[in-house]
Amino acid sequence: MTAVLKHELSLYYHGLTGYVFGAFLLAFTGIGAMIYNINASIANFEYVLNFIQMVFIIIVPILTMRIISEEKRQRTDQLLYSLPISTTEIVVGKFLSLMVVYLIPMIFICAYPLIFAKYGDVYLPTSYGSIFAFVFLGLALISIGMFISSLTESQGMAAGICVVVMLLNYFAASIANALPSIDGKENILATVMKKLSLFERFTLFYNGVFDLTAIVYYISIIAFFLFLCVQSLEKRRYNG
Amino acid sequence: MKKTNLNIKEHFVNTKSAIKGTLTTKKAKIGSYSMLMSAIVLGIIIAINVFVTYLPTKFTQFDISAAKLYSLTSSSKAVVGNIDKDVTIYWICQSGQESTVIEKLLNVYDSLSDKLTVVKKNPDTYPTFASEYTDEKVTNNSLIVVSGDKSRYISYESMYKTDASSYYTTGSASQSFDGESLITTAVDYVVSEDLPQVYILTGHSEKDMSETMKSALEKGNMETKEFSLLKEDNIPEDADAILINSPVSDISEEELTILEKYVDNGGHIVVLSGVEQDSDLTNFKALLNYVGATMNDGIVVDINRDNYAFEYPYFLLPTLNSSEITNALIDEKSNVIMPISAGLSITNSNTAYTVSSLLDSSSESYSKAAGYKLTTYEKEDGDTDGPFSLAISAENAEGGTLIWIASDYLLDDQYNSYSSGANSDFFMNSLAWKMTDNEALSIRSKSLDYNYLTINATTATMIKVILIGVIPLGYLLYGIEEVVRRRKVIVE
Repeated sequence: MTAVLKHELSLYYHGLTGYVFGAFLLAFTGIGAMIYNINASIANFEYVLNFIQMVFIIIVPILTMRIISEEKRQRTDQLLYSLPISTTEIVVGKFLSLMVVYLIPMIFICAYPLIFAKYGDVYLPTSYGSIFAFVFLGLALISIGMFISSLTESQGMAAGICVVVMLLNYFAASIANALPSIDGKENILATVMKKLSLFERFTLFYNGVFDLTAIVYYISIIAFFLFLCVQSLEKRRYNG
Repeated sequence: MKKTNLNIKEHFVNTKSAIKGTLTTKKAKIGSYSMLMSAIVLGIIIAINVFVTYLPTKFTQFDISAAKLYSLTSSSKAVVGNIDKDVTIYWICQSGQESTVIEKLLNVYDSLSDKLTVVKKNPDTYPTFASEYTDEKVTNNSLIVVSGDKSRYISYESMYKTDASSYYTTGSASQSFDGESLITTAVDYVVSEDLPQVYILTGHSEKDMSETMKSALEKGNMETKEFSLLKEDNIPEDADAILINSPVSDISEEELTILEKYVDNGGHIVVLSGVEQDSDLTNFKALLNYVGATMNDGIVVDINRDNYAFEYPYFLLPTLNSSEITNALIDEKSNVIMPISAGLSITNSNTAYTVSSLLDSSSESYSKAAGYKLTTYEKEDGDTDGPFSLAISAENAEGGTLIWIASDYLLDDQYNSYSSGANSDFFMNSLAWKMTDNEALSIRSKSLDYNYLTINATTATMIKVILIGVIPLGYLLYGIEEVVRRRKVIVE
């Protein structure tokens, strides 16, 4: 597992992908901080996080598109199968590498509320509670992106599908609200869409509620998609 | 017969295997195995998620908001936790329009007591539901608290209080959330059997109740009834307090005797009455003299800059003296505004009563004898020197009390708003003095104002450059440099 992790990390950081991803996330956070914390001078960092959620629509596909599809295309996945490690270890190793790539820029972001706290009364529990949830939101989306990457041999295809899935996820709540209600009751489809949307679950955090059920949901999503990813690779291992 | 059957089976199997390979191949096994496994894993994950949503919210959701919007005070917990009747809170809201704050707050109430249930009512489905309880136009996220045949309507707008007073100093009105206090008092109201009865004296062209006074009395869960001493020759038995709100014409001597007797025997009277306008209020003011205080003629003008508001020296900002009524206001550093007030002096002429001053004007104040006809704020001949008391409390050994607030405009909506609600708090504390403890009164609204950062222009530019430029570009450049260095190493 550590071998896979090291290998993947070297791929991200010997090429530019890891740096582009991080620079993008940091730049977007910077713009959000400028709008809310500097120009509007509001002492709430969680609004920045709410604003930059949409960055995931772009950066998750960038990060995850090649993780498995490229191996498939170059047939290097066959090499992986020949290693004395299980498919689960391969998948977890790859996921951990994505996690590291994602968390390094997040460490920088963790310092931002403290910077702003020097210039006013920033309420840190909401800020860090939201950052915590933001990390899990990102990881859950990354696990979905990784699964999508395992479905195809083409990076472009993986990125395209991933963008669509992220968009659907991001706008699920708004689409759900636009659905007509049946007999005055909320459309069952709308309810399900809202419940499933990963982004929708994040709204509670920046409104000031630390919601453990959402964290459990994010972890479940990560576990489920990693499991599907393993299944997808297993299938290929034996079916060719 | 048996043989044919077998043959058909064999034939069937053969055809299938010819097309797709038999079901016993490894491939098919893995396929069905993975489908089954996926279904099981999905099932377990759904079960876990459903399970956590059924856990009580106090274990799964924590309030991390700065104003502690979703945490109830111990007063609310005491009131709601001890209800012994079924209470239903109807949440009137179209689907998709739910306010997160209201939703979370109601969840907390719901989890406090088994007797309390929250029911969401969509006005699209039940268009006439709310009109059974209120005549007002019901907006989304309004609440109706119902128990038995008692109910109270809480509008969404009333939960968000805007305080305009800071508009003049900071340029923006501050907002606060008063939902908890309104919901808790409403719950207290619908479950209470005996609410304090406040009788309001009529028959002397008394002023109509202002919105501020109405909502303060409602929030204090006091039931009000009007009564006239002309028709009855005694104070009603069940009266917990008598409120006399700015009479224009004088009371009769008989009425005075009844009121005096009422206080002597342990009754409570709260009076809002200041500068006389046209008519003479001799008998009415005799009530004040009876307990040991007098009212000076004219309007109090205070030229000490700390003691008046808005450039007008007759909008007084009195000094609050420590007492059971004012201590809560002193603790919160609230300022009561006394507009156009008369000056009271304590004479202690009646030994049965202990008179104390609640609000004081400064030693630089004086009472303009010209009253409403004053032409200058300068001190003239005939003006009385201060300091004055602007509100007094008197109590006797029987527990009888008289509170005299010497301004007719204390509870005008505008002045109450300028005082950030301190005026109505002062009034309600006066009314509730010596009455049964009212838990709900002590819940303050929660400020929703943004905290602002104060960053000077140079620092702001620097932070912008660092956050948008230096950090992301630095990250990227470091990456490029790393990649280039590696390429070189490989080439070499």
